[in-house]
Amino acid sequence: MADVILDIDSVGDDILAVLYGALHKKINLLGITTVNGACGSIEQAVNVALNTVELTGRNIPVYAGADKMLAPKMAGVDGDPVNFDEELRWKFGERLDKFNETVKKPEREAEKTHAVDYLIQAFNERPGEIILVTTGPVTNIALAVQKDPSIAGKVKEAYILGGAFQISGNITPVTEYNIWADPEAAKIVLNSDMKITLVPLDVCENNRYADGMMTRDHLAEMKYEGKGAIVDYIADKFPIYIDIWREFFQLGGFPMDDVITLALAVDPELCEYTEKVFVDVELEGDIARGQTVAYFGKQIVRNPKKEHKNTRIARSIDGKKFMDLFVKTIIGQ
Amino acid sequence: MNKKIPIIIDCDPGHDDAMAILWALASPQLEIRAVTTVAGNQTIEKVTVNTIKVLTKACRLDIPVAMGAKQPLVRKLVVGGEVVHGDSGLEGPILPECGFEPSKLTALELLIKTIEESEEKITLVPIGPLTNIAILFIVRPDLKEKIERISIMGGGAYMGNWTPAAEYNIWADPEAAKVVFNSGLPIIMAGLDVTHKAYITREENEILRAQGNEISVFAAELIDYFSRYHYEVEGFPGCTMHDPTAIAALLYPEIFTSVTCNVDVEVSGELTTGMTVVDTIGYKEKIFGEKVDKNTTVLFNVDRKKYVEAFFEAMKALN
Repeated sequence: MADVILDIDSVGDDILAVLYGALHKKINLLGITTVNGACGSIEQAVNVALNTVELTGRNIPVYAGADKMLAPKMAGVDGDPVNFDEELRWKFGERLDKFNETVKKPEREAEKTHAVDYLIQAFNERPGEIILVTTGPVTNIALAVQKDPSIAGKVKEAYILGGAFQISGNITPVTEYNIWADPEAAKIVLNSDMKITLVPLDVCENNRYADGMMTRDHLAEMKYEGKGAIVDYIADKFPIYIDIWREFFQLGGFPMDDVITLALAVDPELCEYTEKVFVDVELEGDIARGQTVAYFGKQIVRNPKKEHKNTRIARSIDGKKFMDLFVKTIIGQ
Repeated sequence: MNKKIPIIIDCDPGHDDAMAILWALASPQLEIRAVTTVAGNQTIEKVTVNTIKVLTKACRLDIPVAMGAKQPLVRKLVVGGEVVHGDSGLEGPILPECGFEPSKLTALELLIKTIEESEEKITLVPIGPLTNIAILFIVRPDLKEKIERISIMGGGAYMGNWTPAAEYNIWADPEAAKVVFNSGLPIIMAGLDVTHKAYITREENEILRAQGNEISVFAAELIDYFSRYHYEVEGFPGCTMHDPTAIAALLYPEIFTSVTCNVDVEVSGELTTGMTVVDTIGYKEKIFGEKVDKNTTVLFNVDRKKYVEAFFEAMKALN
């Protein structure tokens, strides 16, 4: 069993990551921390996390974390992703209501401790023993590292969903959402001594690895092979997610970014990786703010931080093996 | 009737610039009306001498060469080619003495004169920093009407060679590049995405040398020197034909795959200045509802075998 803390922003595939983490035989989810991100407010993130945990019947504590990015975006500078909702509404009508719907009030409550304090406490109590997995902006992690820099070296390994290298971004042409949403936080974490595996769009939202995306065939397989509340929930909720990503982003299915990132914590062989490099984040820039920049040493301008090479980047994935593992884990085989 | 495409090459030779000039000279489809130079791979004095020597080598003393911008629009000149192209900017092969003098005109004046005097629209082929072309558009925006299109070597959608994000020609003068990409004229961009795929291996270079004519041997020697960096530092399978690709894109569009989309240039980044931001998916429009100009045809892939064969044929056709 691997002890894992999962930091999520609770939109679609985060839910699947929580379910995967709760059900996977090799993963012991110690706690779930939440961050404001793709789903909107921190309350929504916490409620989605609590409801999802409830669905699994497990008793995994949930901690509310940062509600704001380190440097909140100035209105008008980055623009607002407005077009997205309008176009989808036109295409899907009321089916869209299942996408990031406002959730019911959970039975349980979140823990009293703030996510950042929980992270500091957990890694200090068991240095080198706990794996950290993040699937949203890394605001909580950056705050924890700022408050107690020693924890960077106490995280056993961090699996971070973020960045885009050999393919386009998913929020601007050159940026991936999690890094774009809080680039200052990402810079702090990537510049720390943490041992990091970065899981970029290259392996998650890339049709070259479309066999690692969820399709209606997978939903049918889950319904056919398994049963129970979790299978019913996924089969009911996720068709619209599959449709949105196929229609709007022209991907082969619903990309499983968050689940992949968590899956690697216990099955790292699902991916191939680059050598360890230094990855930095653009903070300035008119149009490139939030871009991840990796120093592989092939350019004239070299790694400004010399020996600081703490990050390996996932560069390919065995998508079919991953999806088989996902379906099996969900149906409990 | 087989009408030639009139072009002006704006360059900073540079081994690959030299090969681009030779390829254009060899082609019956292209007519070089003028060559202008820009500081980049080496200082303006050195690249101008190199340009004249290359034309002299090819016995083309009739093409006017004018010296252009000594430095980028706002930034300090950082000479790009010291490690790649050597001290002269064109180390390796033995070059002839200059067979003629540069024009009395500046590059800007020669560009204006050539474009004004031309009856047909001119195609610009800038394969160095874009300083001269930006100045032309700032000084004489009216002349854009007489430009057919611009075939650029520069940039990259997903990689750089000077910094992890930026290719040298754009990085060296990003403000100029921003002016050119936002000029409203149609652009073909031969960036690193495609030029890294347009390479000539050591074995193939021996075939080129064995063609035996003076220019083929000369090109093979250019490749000998230029490719050291590609093998030793970049770890590539062959000599990367950056600048000649801007010529090949005009001659053989059918051997390339491309995406036509918006390209803009980052000018204010800490780590990404000089990067071409290539919006292949159309995110600006899709997510933010902004109308954008699909200003650039970005080349992504090439039929390498056809590319190499065409280049070898061109080198054989000269002298």
